[in-house]
Amino acid sequence: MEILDKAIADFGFRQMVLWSADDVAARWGLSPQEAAVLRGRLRDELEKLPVPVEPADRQREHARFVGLIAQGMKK
Amino acid sequence: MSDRLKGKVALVTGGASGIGRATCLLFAREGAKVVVADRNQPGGTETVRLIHQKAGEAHFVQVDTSNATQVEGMVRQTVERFGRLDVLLTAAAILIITPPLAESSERDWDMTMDIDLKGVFLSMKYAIPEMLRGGGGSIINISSVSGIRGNVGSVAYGVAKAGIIHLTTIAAEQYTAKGIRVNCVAPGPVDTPQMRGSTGSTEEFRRVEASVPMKRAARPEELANAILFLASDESSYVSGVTFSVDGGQRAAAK
Repeated sequence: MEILDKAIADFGFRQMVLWSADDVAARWGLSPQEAAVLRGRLRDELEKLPVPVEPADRQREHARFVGLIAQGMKK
Repeated sequence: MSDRLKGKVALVTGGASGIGRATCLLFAREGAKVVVADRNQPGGTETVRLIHQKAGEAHFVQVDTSNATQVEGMVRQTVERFGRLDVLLTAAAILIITPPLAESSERDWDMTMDIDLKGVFLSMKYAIPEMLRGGGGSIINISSVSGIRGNVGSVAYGVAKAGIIHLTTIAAEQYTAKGIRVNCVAPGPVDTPQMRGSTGSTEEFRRVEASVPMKRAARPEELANAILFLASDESSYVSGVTFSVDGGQRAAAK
């Protein structure tokens, strides 16, 4: 959730997730399944976010991404 | 004016967007063969496409500039592809927003330092021997106004950018007499995705613009013009300087 919050609110960190997902996964000690979600669907959706995500939109985006993560972890 | 870099080979890290891309396009227009280096492959290949569209020469190399092996490979590929290396621009950087120092995380510090400072060190470390082999060159590092006066929004960013100024000075002392000029550009706010993203909201971006004496952020092309001067022989007597391109922001600082 920390990664998700930062990636939505902070474009610099989002760049790290988009282009160095393996590095982020290693630094946060993600499980292989979590890392796969980060590199896959989550990354694709983060790339589509506007720059910046305005403060008023962050909660809605957060909820949407939480749903995507839950779907990804079920697989 | 054109052909100010004719016959030269330029390597640009962070060439996929923002200042890096604008400079790649200008370098190519001025006759340089350009290696566009970045982690961001779609952005980097788009920069190359834009250069090819204008009949310029360019090649993309995917690289994480904090990884020594990859940086060494980036320089090797440049020389293999175009035969030499004359100009290095280190524009690859990230700006991660952090809470105040005591709540700031070690991870954010390390990521910022790895890319923003170590990446510049490694790029210079591997580029300098090739420049020496070719008889000299010009290195331009991108610092920031944040490297001069700090950045309260990101603990590590301003420190890394200050480190770049010192790296520039040290390298200039060590290599100017050997034919390599080393300079640094310190931009104020620039209208790039990074800048818009790091301010966190359009309202805050406008507030930052209003704080600049010129009342606007720079266009990336305005930075590229300053960088071109330092890359070209027009700055043949310039080494070891930090060139502020900030719309008067530094002069106005209290």
